[in-house]
Amino acid sequence: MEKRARRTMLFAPANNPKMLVTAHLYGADCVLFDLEDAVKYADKDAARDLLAEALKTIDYGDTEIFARINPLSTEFGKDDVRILVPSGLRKMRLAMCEKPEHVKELDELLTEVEKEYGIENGACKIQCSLETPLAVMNAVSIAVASPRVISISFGAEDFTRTMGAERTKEGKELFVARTMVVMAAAIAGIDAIDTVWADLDDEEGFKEEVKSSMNLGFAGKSCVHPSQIKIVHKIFTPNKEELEKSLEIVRAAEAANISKGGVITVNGKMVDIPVIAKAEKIVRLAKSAGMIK
Amino acid sequence: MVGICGNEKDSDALVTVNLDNIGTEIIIESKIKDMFGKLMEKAVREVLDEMKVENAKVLVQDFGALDFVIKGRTRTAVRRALTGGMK
Repeated sequence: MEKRARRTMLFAPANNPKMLVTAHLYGADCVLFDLEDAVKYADKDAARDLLAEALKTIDYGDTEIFARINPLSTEFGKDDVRILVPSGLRKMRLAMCEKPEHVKELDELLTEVEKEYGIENGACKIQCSLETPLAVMNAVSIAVASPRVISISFGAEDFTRTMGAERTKEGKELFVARTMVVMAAAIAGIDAIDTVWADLDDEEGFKEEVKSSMNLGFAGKSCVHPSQIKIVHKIFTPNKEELEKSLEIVRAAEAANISKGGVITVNGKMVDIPVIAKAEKIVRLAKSAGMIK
Repeated sequence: MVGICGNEKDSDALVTVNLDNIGTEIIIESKIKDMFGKLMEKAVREVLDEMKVENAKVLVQDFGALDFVIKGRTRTAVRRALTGGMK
């Protein structure tokens, strides 16, 4: 499966006609049209139909489009899938995913809808949103519950609410959960996407949090405002030196054909699969940043 | 059976569908009706055809909506009318 950079996932309410037209123009790697928290109960059907028409009409180019669907346990979740998949939706974030059974339930529904509409089996992918202590404790089993799962995301607001914890700028209360989410993603070989930063006035705090997310191993960050995109991309963009080293490693690995195992030497240093994977990640980020083609 | 969907906001439209009608009647209220009225009507008609609705009076109050918005709002208004809900 193609590996893509997911440095930024911009939230946009699905019931806002303007945002459906403009959200992808801000340069985020992914746009997440929200049918869940951003849409009030009485407008769920309208948001879903509007997004369906947008997906049929608008060319979103290279931007990866996701929809945050409602949990399948609600009266809206299944209709979100049944209406949006035939309209072209292929990636969806499953809100409040707490157990592997939630993933399997969505997996089965997607299989059924794909079959009904002649869509390739497995074409629809899932991002699981982990927002409670139970979800975090089940992170590994959720991440490996289906080959459709391409990433897991962490939601700090609901997590702190359900923990009875206070969310602070330093984020110490989230450290363990964040680390567990990243570890689960690494075990499954998928991306981990970090939670949003809602204080738009505190740019310095946001930068610190993004650096910390990147250092922990997150592949990207959910964003609530277009102004956050450039900041995240800058932090997630490798420097020239890192890129040159990584390109050298990737080329040497390709030449030696050791993708399935083995060790090579590059500039006198031993290079094995984890080092190559890291180098590939840097090259991917550099491509997304437009540093190389 | 009446269904309403949309908003009186920029780039949006408020669509009212009344299924207690004989035949199809589409009324467009828009500042740009002279230029785009026909296209708006076509968008509504496409949705009615897809949903196999033959009897409906549809009022589109347009506030600068693109075609996909008119289609989405019409589709929801029809669904709401069919389920008897007026929102």
